[in-house]
Amino acid sequence: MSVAESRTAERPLAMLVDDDASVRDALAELLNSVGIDSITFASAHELLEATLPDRPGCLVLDVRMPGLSGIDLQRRLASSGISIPIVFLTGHGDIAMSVQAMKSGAVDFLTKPVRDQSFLDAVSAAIAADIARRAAATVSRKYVALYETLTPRERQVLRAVVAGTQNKQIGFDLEITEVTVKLHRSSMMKKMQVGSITHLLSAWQSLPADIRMGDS
Amino acid sequence: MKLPFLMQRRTLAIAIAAAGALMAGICLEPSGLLIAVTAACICCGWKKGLVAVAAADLLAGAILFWPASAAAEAPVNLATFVATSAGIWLLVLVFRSVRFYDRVYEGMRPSVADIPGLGWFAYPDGRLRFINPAALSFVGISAEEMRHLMDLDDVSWFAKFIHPDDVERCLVNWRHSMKTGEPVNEEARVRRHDGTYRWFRDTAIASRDERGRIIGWYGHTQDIEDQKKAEAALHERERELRLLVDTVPSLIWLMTPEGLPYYFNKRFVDWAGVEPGDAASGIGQALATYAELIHPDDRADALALFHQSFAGGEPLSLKYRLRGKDSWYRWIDSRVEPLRDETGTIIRWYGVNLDVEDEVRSQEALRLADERLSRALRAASLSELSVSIAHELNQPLQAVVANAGAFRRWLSADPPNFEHAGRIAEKIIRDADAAAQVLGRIRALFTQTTDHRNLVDLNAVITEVCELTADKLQSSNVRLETDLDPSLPATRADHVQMEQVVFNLVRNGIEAMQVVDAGSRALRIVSRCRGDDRLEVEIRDHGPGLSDLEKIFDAFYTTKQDGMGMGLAICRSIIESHGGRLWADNVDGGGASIKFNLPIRATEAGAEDMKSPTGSVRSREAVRASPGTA
Repeated sequence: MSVAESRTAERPLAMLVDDDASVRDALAELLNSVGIDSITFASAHELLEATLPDRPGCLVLDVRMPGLSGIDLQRRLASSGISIPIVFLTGHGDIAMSVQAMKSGAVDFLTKPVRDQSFLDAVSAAIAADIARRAAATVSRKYVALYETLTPRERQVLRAVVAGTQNKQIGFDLEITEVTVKLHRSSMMKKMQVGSITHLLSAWQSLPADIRMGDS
Repeated sequence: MKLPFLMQRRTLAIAIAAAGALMAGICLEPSGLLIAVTAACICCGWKKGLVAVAAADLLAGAILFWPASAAAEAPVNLATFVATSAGIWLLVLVFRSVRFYDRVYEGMRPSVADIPGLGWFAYPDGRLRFINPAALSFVGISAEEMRHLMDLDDVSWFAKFIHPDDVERCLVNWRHSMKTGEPVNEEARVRRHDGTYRWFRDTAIASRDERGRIIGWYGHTQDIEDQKKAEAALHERERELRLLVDTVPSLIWLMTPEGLPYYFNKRFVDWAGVEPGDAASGIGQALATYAELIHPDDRADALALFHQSFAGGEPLSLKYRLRGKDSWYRWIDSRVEPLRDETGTIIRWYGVNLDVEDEVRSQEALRLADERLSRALRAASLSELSVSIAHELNQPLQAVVANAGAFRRWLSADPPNFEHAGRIAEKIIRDADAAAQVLGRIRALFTQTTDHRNLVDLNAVITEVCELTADKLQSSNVRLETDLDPSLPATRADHVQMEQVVFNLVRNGIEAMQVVDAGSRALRIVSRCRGDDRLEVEIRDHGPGLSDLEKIFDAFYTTKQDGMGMGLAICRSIIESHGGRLWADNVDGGGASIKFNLPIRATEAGAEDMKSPTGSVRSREAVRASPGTA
């Protein structure tokens, strides 16, 4: 992976969906003027059919579009596990619709014609959220991989430690000696690449819920 | 000895007279003449009798004073003879007529027994004297029993044959007749031998002698049971009819041939509180009363129609408000029909008034509801329209705003990027123009005032649009066929809007055919008259046809990549605001056909529906029944 490619890959990308060509074009121009890359789609279907690049970014959706509406698209994406931040644009302020959109995780809901700065702010916020989301996802992936290397006993000890249980008690619960508990514990800390209990806790927190809730 | 013939009697009388006269001549004894005088008096009448008396007197004088035998007492004898003959004459004079009368009627007077039907005879004091055999067998008594009844010293001998309920009345009448001599005429139920009662009419008159004294009562009793039954049935039917007339939930009234009301049924009386009114109680009064009941607003028109109907003898049906007893006016449906005799002359008019207040009210309520609904619909389409206007305007505005932001940023960049800025400025101008166009279209849509409606030749509109779209037709490889009716009349419409509609439909047609083979792209525009009052325009393409013939007229429904789905919705609202209709069909063999029609109107009149809220009598004239329904 070259440096240039790596930089492009990290550069945010806004994806605009609007049935009106002039609006698409103008919004793309606006983003371009502040250095945000964008690609445009004339309809929701077009977007769904395209292969989306793996770059931080956001979706800008017009609510009212012939065919699949913006809200429909949001639902469709959520159901297929894609959680990219969405900024909605609508021709008229429909409160019920905006509430629904925000509940479903929209970053912002803007009424056309939106001021250029408001639009750029919303897009920037959405991109920032996506970058944070992607970073969190990276961390999570790393600790999941490390967690996978633990032995079942070490996993039991890990759960007990993050629950704040004393070594003596852990030994009693698992019916092993306190010395053995200490051995498992240091091995586990090493495998999880953490130096302190605080660090271990944040690593634990980044793990997906199904692991944390799962049976030991 | 009976001598029925006059000749025999005369011959005998003459013989006796001659014998008497002969005896007097032979014996010279005048008394023999007396028999001749008597015979002459009886047979020849009193005048000739008088002559005979005089002759006999002279003859007696001659005999008595005959010299050969004249006696001293001759004058006395003559005087005796004269007196005797005069006495005989007088006696015959007095009794001859009575005897004659008796002789004539003796044979002719019918016997009570011979009276057909049931007859009876009573003494002047009311006692029974005789009942004829028919009556005896009817009541079922023997002659012996009748004799027993006759022996009763009682006027109420008939009581046992009369229905107990009628006895009292009959006795009173019977006594009254006996006291005054007035004929008896009454109806009573008489018991038959089998115990059943039948109605009889009893008539009896007093029989009087020549001096006017009542000598008896002759009675005749006639069976009137069937008549009575028929009468009762008639009464019953009449009663039922009246009951029907009074019970039928309509106000019924009768009028003279001149149209003057003279009868109102009970319901009418109860409903309107009018006097029952019969022929006797002032006809003019009744008419005035009726006219007063009609609502003042309807009165003149209704009366005019009534008079017209009465004059022409035509049935009438009209609605007006009539005042009820409670002083409230209610809508009624009034129908009037003449009854004619066989010669066609009107005998009377029947009037039926139906209370249709509730009906009228519910119609009114329905109409109001309808109005509210259409208002709501208008409001709904207005809000829909405002949404689409917002959308249509927002798009170019959004583009302008976004482009302007980019424009400013490129200019304020370090260094400014004029090339980019210039390119974006172009776009801003283009988007602003688009916004202006939207505004223009909206303005055209909302200036649908009739002031802008002029006589429009739709053929000319179609031709103009075809010219305007000639470039597009050519570049889209669409062949244009037109079939315009040269006799298409002009109609009052908004020229710009008509152009807009035709333009939209032509453009839709062209765009629909982009997906089909270039060789078969043909657009056909036809104009024609539909009946006397409509003209129709059809725009037919050879595209793929329509999947939903109604939904295409909904706002925001589109089949096009870059359409908003407003074109047809707006077209339809324009056509409908002109009183026309716009619809779509699929054509056999492929393609869609969009048609619209418009009423042919040369003037403003007729543009508004003639729909008055309450509907006056005048407008009801249309419901007048035709004479053929009489």
